[in-house]
This record gives sequence, C-alpha cells and structure tokens, in this order.
Amino acid sequence: MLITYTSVTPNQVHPFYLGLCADRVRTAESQQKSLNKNEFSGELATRKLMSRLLWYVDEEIQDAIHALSACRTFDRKLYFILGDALHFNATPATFRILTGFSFVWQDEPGYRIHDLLRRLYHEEGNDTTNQAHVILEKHYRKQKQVAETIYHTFYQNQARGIAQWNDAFITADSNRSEELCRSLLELRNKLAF
Amino acid sequence: MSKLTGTQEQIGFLKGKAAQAAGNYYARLGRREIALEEYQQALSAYNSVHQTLPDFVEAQKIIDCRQKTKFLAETWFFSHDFFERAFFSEIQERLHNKVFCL
Repeated sequence: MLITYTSVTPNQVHPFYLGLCADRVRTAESQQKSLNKNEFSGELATRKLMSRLLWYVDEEIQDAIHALSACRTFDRKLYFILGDALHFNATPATFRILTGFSFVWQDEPGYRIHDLLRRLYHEEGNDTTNQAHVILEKHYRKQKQVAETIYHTFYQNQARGIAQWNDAFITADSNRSEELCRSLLELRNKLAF
Repeated sequence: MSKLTGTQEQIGFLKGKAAQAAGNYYARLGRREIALEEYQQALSAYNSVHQTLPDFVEAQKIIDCRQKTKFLAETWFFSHDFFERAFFSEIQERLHNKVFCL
C-alpha cells in the first residue's frame, strides 16, 4: 500500500514521501491503530511533504503553483492566462523563478508541475486548482482541443467529463479520426475510468 | 481527488458506455483480445449499475449477456457488429432511461 501510494509513476517512488508515510504507519502501529489507504489522503505526511517542497516559495508563487497544478503541461502563454484570470502576479520574472524550481519539469513543448505535487493538490481539493480547471476547460474548448477540454471537465465533474469523452470518442471513431481516438484512449487510461 | 459529481449509478453507466465504445474501436481494428477485454469491462460496469437498482427488471438479461460474452470471447464466432447489436444496444438504452430518470 505504501509503495503504491508514494509512487509518482508506475516504477518511481518518492523516497522522502515514502519515509514520511512509513513513519505515519509506524506511529499508528505503536498506538495499536491500523491505517487504510483512504486515511492517507489529507494526512500529515502529505502536508509535510508539500510544505517541504514549497519551503522557499513565497505566497504569490504558491498561488501560481496551485493554478498550474491543474495543467497537464503549461507554457508562458498559459501562465499569463491563469495569472490574469486568478489574479496572481504573472510576470516574465516570476515565470523564470517558477520554472527554475526542481519540481517544475521541462516537458516539451512546455513545462509541468511534478506529478506527485499535482496529485497532492487534487487530493487536497485546492480552491485555486479547482478554479484553474474551470478556466482551462473554457480555454481549451475555444482552442478546440478536445482531450484537454475533457481532462479539465473531468476534474470538475466526473460524470460530465466521462459523458463528454463518450460523445467525442464515438464521433471520432465513426469519422475514423485515428489520432483523436488514440489521444482519447490515452486520456481515459490516465483518468482511470 | 476529483469531486464525485453525478450519482454512482450515472458514473457506472457512463464508464460502461466508454468501455463499450473502446471495445467497438478495437474490434474495428481487428484487435480481438483488447476488444473483448473492453466488452467484458462494459458488461461488468453495466452489471454494477444494475446491482444498485434492485428493481431493475432486466437483471437476468444482463447476467445472460455476461455468459454469452464469455462464450463469444472463446469463439469470436460473430462479427463485432452482431455482438454490439445483440448484447449492448438494448441494455444500454434501457439502463440509460433508468439511471438518468432516478
């Protein structure tokens, strides 16, 4: 259970997070309690890890990180769109600072917040991250980027997201749009439905 | 964690529909094994929806379908269009009406 929970990708475990979670289990056992997987969500270990990762990050940048955690990938343009909509201080200088952090990975053609941090914000139900999903859904709908639109819809409302996926996939399959079909199947795998 | 919006029944039904659509896609491409996995997943999702709707009168039909799917999985005797028409379309329509009118 610990390995699964602290895995960032299928074969990659975050050692610090694993250590924190193992401490949590040991403490619970010493108190003759047992923890199940659900009890890890929102746990002290999660908080500790997040505060450690964001130790040197000021609040303004933290808001940007919360917002960008909603993105699968982001670039400078998306950073400014979110900054404008969510009223955090988005400047070229703050973008450079942000993209210099170790938990921001370069992921051609843009960047992404480390998967673990993104997952923790989702589990936490962070308000800024949730608002970012609303903005990003509208943004990608305008851009006619179907998979990205569905991704952000799903994180606001599971039923609506899956219903949109079904409509898009059935249409793509009947139009023989192979590339879109593959991209939607990859998305479905990612969202695990 | 994303919010669980929509009823469990709606989400279960929609997951079944997604697996069914994926099954059709793989069947069209001739990828038999993965198509069957998706079809089994669709039926399992529809069946879980049915289990939360105890008054659903079509219970036996779904259970029959699961058995027939197993048979087809072993033989791949029919084309996927037949598979689709015979086992999914009607179930899906009836479940849709039931789940979304709760």
